[in-house]
Order: sequence, then structure tokens, then C-alpha cells
Amino acid sequence: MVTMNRPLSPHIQIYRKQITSSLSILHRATGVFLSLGAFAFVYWLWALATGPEAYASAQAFFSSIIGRVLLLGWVFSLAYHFSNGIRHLFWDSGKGFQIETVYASGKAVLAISVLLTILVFGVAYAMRGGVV
Amino acid sequence: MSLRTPLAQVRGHGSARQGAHHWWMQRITAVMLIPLFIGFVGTMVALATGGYAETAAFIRSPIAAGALLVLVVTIFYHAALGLQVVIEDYTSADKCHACTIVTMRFIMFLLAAISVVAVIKVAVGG
Ligand code: HEM
Repeated sequence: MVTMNRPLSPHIQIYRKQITSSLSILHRATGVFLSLGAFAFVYWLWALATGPEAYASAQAFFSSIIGRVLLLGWVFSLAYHFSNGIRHLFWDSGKGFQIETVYASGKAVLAISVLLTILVFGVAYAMRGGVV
Repeated sequence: MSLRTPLAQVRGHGSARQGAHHWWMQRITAVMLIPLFIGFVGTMVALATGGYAETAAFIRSPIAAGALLVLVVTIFYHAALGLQVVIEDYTSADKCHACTIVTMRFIMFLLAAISVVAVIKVAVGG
């Protein structure tokens, strides 16, 4: 191999964590976690296509403790991946590369993801008339 | 040293030739997913109190069924493209890269097909 003076990727053991790098890996982590969520989504569609009994057991699963924790994780992941995905699309069009802008948009994305998650669960539980 | 040409050694290990298309499709599916997910999450919240009958009746509308079909196909296309990059980044090219990617694609394709059949079945009231 010919080695040239190319810029290296950050070496993970000695790399100082920053908001930029943490949010970047979180986009990847949420993307992978959402791909696992896709299995649950297919299970839900399958239950719907199968009939009332299958649908009732899917609903029982999603309203169990494990089901709710997973749903919370998937809703937050979607909210984050969605907002940060829009941030990515701005970058792809060449906008928002000033370092202050990158920090500001990163913080905004985090705040919006938390708010969207609270909004989705808040409205859904309010419609059901409580957490049960 | 190897008798294999440099080209033969890199084939199948990266995005040669198809990279720009892969990149574009990842962006196009991302843009499509924005309105699709706003509609989907909104609908799921609205159906939070609904059971089987209400949910199935909603999907019987051609508009809802059509949007749901586009959503599932777009999700699995986007996820397959995205997971491929993750696999290329973290798995060693000495192992069979293509094997992992083809397996992942096969699973995504299968999930997409199951979803499409399920949505159509509900939509036509089966
Ligand atoms: C809600 C709308 C969505 C938007 C706007 C969006 C946007 C994006 C964008 C722009 C990228 C490229 C990021 C990069 O260049 O590093 C990406 C990557 C990815 N997305 Fe999405 N996405 C969405 C939903 C989803 C869903 C539902 C899944 C899973 C089922 C998913 C899985 C992935 C994966 C696995 C990657 C690759 C991550 C990486 O390479 O680091 N995305 N997404």
C-alpha cells in the first residue's frame, strides 16, 4: 500500500467527544434502531391483515411495559432521525456549514426531538384519557 | 502481493460506479419520508383510541392505503440503502462483504413485500 499524507478519520480511542460527533453517531444509531422497528411495524401490518384476534394481541404487546418502552424509543428515534435528517438535507444543499450554525442547529434538533416525542405521547395519552 | 489486478481486489467492496446513484436515492427517499411520516404519525395518534375495526376501516380508503403503500416501500428502500453503508463501514472487506449486504437486502425486500400484501389485503377488505 502506498501511504500518502491523507487526512485520517478520527481515532476513536483518543477522540474527544463533541456535540457534533455525538449527534452524528446518534443519526446512525437511530437509523439502525428504526430498522429494527421496521420489524415491529410489519408485525402490526400483518396483525391488521390477519384479523381482530391477531390485532388484539399486537395491541396487547404494544401496550405492555416492554411494548411501551420500545415505542418510546422508536418515537424518539424517529423524531431525532427525522429532524436531523432535515439538517442533513440542508448540508447537502450547501447550507449551514458555519461552525456556530452547526452547533445551533444541533441543539435545535435535540430540543425539537424531545418536544416532538412529548407531543406524540402527550396527545395520544390525552386521547386515551390517561396513561392506562 | 497478489496476482489479482487492483480492480479485481476492490470489486464488490464499495460504491464503485453506483455511488452517486446510491447517494441520490438515499436523499430522494429521505425527502419523500418527511411528508409521509408526518401523515403516518398524525394518523397513528388520531387512531390511538381505535381498535381493529376503526383502523382497518381507515386503511380501506384508497388515499390512506396508497399513502401507506408508498410509505412502506420508501422506508425499506431507504433502510436498505442506509444499512448497506453501515455494513460497508463496520465489517471487514476480507470477509464476504457482499454476503452480508445481500442478506440484509433480502430481509428488507421480504419485509417490504409482506407489508405491501398486508396493506392491499386490508384495503380490499379481505
Ligand atoms: C422520517 C424521515 C427520515 C428522514 C428525513 C431520513 C433522512 C436520512 C438521511 C438524510 C440520511 C443520510 C445521512 C448521512 O448522509 O449520513 C439517512 C440515513 C439513514 N437512515 Fe434515514 N431518514 C428517515 C427515516 C428513516 C427510517 C424510518 C429508517 C429505518 C427504518 C431510516 C434508516 C436510516 C439508516 C439505517 C441510515 C444510514 C445511517 C448512516 O449511514 O449513518 N431512516 N436518513
